[in-house]
Amino acid sequence: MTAKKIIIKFLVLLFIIIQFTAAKAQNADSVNAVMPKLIALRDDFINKIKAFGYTPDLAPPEIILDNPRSFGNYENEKNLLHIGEWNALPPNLKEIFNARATEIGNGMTGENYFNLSIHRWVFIHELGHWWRACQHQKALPYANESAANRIALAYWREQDSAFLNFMLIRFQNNIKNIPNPAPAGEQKEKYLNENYQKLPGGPAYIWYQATMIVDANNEKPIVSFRQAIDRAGNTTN
Amino acid sequence: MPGDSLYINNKSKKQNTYDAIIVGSGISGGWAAKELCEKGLKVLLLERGANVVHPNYPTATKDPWEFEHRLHLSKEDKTKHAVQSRHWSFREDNKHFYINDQENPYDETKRFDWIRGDIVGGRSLLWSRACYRWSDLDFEANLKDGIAIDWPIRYKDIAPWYDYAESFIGVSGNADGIPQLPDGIFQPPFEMNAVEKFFKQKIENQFSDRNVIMGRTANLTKPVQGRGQCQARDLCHRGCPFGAYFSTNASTMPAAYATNNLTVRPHSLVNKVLYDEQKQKATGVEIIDTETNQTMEFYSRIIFINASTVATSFILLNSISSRFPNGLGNGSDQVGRNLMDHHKGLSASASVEGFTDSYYRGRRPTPLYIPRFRNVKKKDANFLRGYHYGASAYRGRQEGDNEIGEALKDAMSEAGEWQMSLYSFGECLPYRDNRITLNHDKKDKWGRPIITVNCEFKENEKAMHEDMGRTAKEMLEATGFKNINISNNISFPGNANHEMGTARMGKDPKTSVLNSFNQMHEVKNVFITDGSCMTSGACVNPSLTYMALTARACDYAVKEMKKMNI
Repeated sequence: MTAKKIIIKFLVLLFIIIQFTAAKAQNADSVNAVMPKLIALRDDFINKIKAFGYTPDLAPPEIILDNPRSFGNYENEKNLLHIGEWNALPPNLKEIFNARATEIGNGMTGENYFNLSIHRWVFIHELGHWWRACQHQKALPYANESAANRIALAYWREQDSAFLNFMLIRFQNNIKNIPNPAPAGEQKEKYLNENYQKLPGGPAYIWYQATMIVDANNEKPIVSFRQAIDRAGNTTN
Repeated sequence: MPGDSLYINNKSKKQNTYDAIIVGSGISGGWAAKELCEKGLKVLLLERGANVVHPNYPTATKDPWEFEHRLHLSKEDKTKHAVQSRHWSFREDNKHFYINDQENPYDETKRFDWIRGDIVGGRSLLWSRACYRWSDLDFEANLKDGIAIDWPIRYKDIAPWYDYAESFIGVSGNADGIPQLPDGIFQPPFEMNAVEKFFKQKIENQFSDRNVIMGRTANLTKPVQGRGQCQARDLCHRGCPFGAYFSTNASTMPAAYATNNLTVRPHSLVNKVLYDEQKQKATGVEIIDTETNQTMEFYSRIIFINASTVATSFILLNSISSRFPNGLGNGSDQVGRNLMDHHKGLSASASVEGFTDSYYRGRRPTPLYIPRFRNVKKKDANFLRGYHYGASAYRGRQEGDNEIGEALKDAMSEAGEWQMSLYSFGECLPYRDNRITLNHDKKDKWGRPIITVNCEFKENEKAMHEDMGRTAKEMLEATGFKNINISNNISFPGNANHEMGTARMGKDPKTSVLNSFNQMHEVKNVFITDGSCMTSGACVNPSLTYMALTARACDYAVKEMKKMNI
């Protein structure tokens, strides 16, 4: 290898290190801003459960800001709660939140809408999965997701009903704008159960989540957060 | 002279420098973006049209009555889109995806229907999704017939890349075991209805050289990562909210974005490739920002030109330098020549008696397919090459001609009689004088020379077209169907949307523009993998081949970069 090639390789490596370090620093700033809010929300959720007299089997889940494909994911085996982070979101996904924010109007930005829908709604939904893991609840995907949604609904109904109503309008719009992805003649529950590993990350899964949330919100009688926790999100004890 | 400018603003140059630039975000450009980003390159994807982000398709879930003209074109639409409206698929519900012909003129020495998307994703949002492998019947055709030049590759060279492309995009179909239409990696096929099964049985029993198979299509019959399965809505042309058919927007672009290596720049009309005479390399591209009308330059180590055949030819012919006075990499004088498209125009139909207790669900996104049977095992026609048919059987509505009010509604809610229809696509030979040139005496609104297209179907295509009509009639008669109606006017070039051939691949730099890896013979860091690279046109839909060639070229390009060869 010639000296010139060695120098070029060194310079390229140096450039990559500088870029990587700068990107890491920027990412660290945004993580530092977001993480305390998520920790506070997580702790509030768990403290409420403890106030009901429960001692959770699992420690509070560690929060990982890493953009999982459906924006949030509770990893049962490692007790990790993965959640999306705006600054690390690819441009195409930012564009989707920007477009929805424009539809909402009133000065809403894509980032604000992302924070509301992901760092509040999806985050509590994933904590619902954590609680079900604490309670050793297992179910097929449709029932499992519906249960986590019932917990999230009950939490927000008591904590911030205006936010819940805001999100319910968004979910109703999702159902209106995305056709039912289950093939004609096939039960939606069965279809999700059979394709659960493939649908997250796309509009079909958004339709499913929106449908489950709207359906759960229409269930009567309305359950309190305490009841939802007692039942681990199931419809009966 | 392009490439000779002195760069004062070094910061700007650095900001505008990438590992790779891709021109065009259609099927092949999207694939190049995915492949190069996944291989770790920082990629700038330039698209002349406006941005469209999956799944934000504005008309995807609208009902017909929500459109001002109930899906018909207005007088204004036909004026503004005088060329686009020549194509059946240009409609009120997707006209926002197409180019404005008034603002983007070209000259037609003979009529040429240049159908163009003007959005991120290009025609990947508008294509018919037919996915078929080419075979050595196609790759060896020029050599055997003594036409034009030989392809520099054979089926074995591209077969693993067909596997690769099909595995990613999801192609539904059957393994039919037909040598001239190789099997691939398929999702489950769509189903034939009762009349189509009858048609298949009759044709295959009576014509030993013919197969009737389910169409192979890039519509998912099972979900894949983040993309839902096809709902048979027949609304693909609006953009699919599930990503159930392959498009750049729903498939390759999200994959490229996920690497964090992709930058997409819409409204970026590429004017020319910048060439450095000393380094004997392309250094970047000059674009016109169509929103600001500003001219800008972007730089990279490699460039993939995927602007679609005619536009790619323009870019090459407009990239003039001392080294290349006739256009970039055009020492062979082949750039712009050998323009091909499939010829079509057959519409054959017949009414089918019986089967009244049989119906079907949904609007299947693919027809049946009858692979080429002319000149396959032996020469059996008065023309070279061959054609394929598409076919489908369907039930209309009861007409209720004599009814009004409730009786009319009742009649319309009943299924009408069965109809069988056939259409056909035939191969066009590569003719040296079917070509694209630039008219420097006329300029477009950005001061660029106007493209002149001079292309026609010749005697071989006309003879083939006559055979298409005769044979369609023969097959419909053989099935016993009634009221056979044949309309067989050959289309104008361009209208099949399969423009190919103006920067062909070949072994010899004297007679071709690209080598066997789609690399320009004369400019080693420029690759072209859209339709312009094709050495012949086959009668088989070409898009899957573009995808496979693109993935293969990207793999080669990155290996060459690592070896410091480019």
